[in-house]
Amino acid sequence: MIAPVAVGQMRFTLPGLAADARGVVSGREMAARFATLDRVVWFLRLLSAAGDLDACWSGMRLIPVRSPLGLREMLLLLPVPSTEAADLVARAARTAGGQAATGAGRHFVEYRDARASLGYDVAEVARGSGDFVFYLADQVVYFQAEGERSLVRLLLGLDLLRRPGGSSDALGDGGACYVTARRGLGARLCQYLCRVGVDARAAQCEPAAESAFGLHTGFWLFRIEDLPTRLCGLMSETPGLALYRPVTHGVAVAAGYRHPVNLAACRVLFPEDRLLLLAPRPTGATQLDPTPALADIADLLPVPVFSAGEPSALSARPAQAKRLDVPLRLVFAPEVRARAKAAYLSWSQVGWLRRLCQALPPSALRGHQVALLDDVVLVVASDELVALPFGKLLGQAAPGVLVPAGMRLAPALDPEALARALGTGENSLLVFVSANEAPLRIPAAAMQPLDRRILAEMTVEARSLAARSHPVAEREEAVEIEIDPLGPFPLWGLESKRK
Amino acid sequence: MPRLFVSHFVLPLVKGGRLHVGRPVGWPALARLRRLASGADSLSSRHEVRAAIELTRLRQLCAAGLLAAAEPPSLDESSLRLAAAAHNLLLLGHPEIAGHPREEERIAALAQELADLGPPAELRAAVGRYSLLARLPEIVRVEHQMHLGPSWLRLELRATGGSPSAAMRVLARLAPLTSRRRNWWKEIGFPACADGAIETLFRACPLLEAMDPLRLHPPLSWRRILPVLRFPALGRAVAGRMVEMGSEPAGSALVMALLRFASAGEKDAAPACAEEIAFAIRFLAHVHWLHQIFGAGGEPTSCSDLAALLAAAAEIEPRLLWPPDIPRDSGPGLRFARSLQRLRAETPECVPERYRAMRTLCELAVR
Repeated sequence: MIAPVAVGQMRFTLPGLAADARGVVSGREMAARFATLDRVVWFLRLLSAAGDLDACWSGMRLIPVRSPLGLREMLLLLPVPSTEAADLVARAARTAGGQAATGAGRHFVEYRDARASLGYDVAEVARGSGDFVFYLADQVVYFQAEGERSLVRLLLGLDLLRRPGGSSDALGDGGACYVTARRGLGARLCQYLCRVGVDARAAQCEPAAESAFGLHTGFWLFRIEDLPTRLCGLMSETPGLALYRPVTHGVAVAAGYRHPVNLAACRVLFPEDRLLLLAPRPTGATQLDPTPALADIADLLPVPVFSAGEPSALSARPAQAKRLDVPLRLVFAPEVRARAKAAYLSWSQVGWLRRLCQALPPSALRGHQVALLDDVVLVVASDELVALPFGKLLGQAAPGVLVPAGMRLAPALDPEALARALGTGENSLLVFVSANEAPLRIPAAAMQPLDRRILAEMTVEARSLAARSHPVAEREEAVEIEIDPLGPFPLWGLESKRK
Repeated sequence: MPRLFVSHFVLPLVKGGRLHVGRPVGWPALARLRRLASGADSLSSRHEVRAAIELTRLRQLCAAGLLAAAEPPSLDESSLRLAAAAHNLLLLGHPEIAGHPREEERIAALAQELADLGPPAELRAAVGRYSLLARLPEIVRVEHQMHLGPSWLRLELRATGGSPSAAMRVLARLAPLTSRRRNWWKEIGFPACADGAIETLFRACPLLEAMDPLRLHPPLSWRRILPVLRFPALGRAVAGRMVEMGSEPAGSALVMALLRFASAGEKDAAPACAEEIAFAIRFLAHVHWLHQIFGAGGEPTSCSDLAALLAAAAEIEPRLLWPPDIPRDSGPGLRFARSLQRLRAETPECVPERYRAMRTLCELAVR
């Protein structure tokens, strides 16, 4: 099958083989054969750690193949510029549990090992059909290719590994970094970085869409040339911000993590006009195509608005003594979100109140007071009126002064002073119903607790008077057992119906 | 059966006073009562008729506490059967019956037959039945006791239920007469043979069971109380009752019952489905909402079963806890969110095993 190459041998049976100055035989390409995909990953990790092999990485192809026995295997073809590079590839492939072969086109013979220090040649070229032919020590193996897999997709699909020490140690040596921020945080982060004097550039980005129907959320991308160490924690631990560290041109990995493969060694696989952000799951890889044009963050800040002219100085002179009477009036104030203190119900809404009192727990009605007026009913809570969803809600503008919700009194005086001036508080309430009506003064004597008695009175108006015989008193009598004598044969004639 | 069953037993059961417990009420006696209630029996005494009218009025008052527009419940066959079953259950504590297992078993079986009405199909029936039995847990029995003679010749006189005997009243001048009021429902209890009858009574009147969640035996059953909680008016009434009793103890009792309902199931009943568990969790969340908005007490402790359920539901599916019409940035919403946040932070460390069980329960509810 195969035979070791002799010293000084210059002619070889297998096409594509050539000897270098030392007499070591090698082809233009190396082929590494692996049984499973995880061994391929292992090989890539070893190869990326071995050294700078740009020529190998640029032409590397991953081809799933099927052997004559029907087994699926992975074949990795990569060009080798020299026998030294071939030695590195072969060592990595054998360490990862694969086989290394050299050759060109479709014919590959086993690469040199301890038994044949100069390499192997074949006795005759195989004529069988197959996309690839491997010449081994005891057999010739034909492989059928089944397409080709993207090496970049394989690399991007790998899970990131967490660095010991976390994200704070990831940028300990300083250097540039990328930060992504959700849309709402971008402007704030710009302002913050400007304020602390950090040089950064930023842009709004939309990740490449994988589907026309998918949801893609845009984000802000910042490139910070020299991130102070004190800000590392802020950038990496604030929700909505993510910190990335560039590992090679166009590729950045989340701080605190590293890619299992040394991406700097295989930089030729990634296009230069794109930016790849690699984050742990579930975010995964984000590809920005093309690389966004970043602008200085100072240019992204909102421009402050200046007044057109200089403020003119007004000359002031003392006015003559006059009375300063300002009428107290209601004005709309939608920005005021005062707590509802009372409700102003019409008599048509009393039925609703009755039904609501049936539904609410007793603790909800505790502390409420009610005033039954001629045309309306006023319900006042001790603290906050949360149980009444109807009627005109009134807020408390000052102690004892009630105004409709969404309105306030103008001029805005101190509440205590207003209550003193209006004479409200414990003795009476002053209710401003609307801007057009005069306020109502309700004495404290007209307020009654909204307890069961009040409810019972309200019920009586709608129902018959027969049900008004003090139901509470009736329920207070205890239920007590009185034992009667059973007499003779108490169970006599006590038959079950089922019988 | 007391000769005047309505006036001597049913009316005091609703109104209060002394209810007479005598010979058991069987099916023939029930047929006579049915004729009396329908007016077909011309021999019915005027006293009984007046008692029946008064009973209807009082039951309407009781129902008005639950429904805004309550109709007067009629003294129909189901009401009579429930009253008869309650009478026979009370009879199990009669001094002449207690301690005689065969008689107890026969009376308990009869009570179970009488109470076997099934769950109420409509709101009116549920309220009507409850208006009859609402005061059943309040029933007390007075026990009089007197010790006579020197310490080496101790004579004891006892009288159970009702007034002390004439002899005791005479001898009360010589020795002190002690009287003790014992709650029939919680202190005296029932013999074991009556468990089935009690459960059947609860099935026929689930509101009675729902209004007393802290009862220990027989254990609370979600399968029985679910039909009435689905009526909004009754669900609100039960929730209000729980807030009054204390949302934490009452809610925790219901949570424990819910765990039984969802895991082990209940005898002769279909296993709980996801919708039923989700409804129960929403009901308990409603109680917590009421406690947050109207409750006078403080925050629930992080180690209670209710807290574990709320924390787990907030983790698994917040929609189980948040009504769709309450904005989260409103005042009550913020208060509720703060409470949930605290429970989520503290409960998993405080009761880890219980928290894991509640997580499983919530996952079952959203399955």
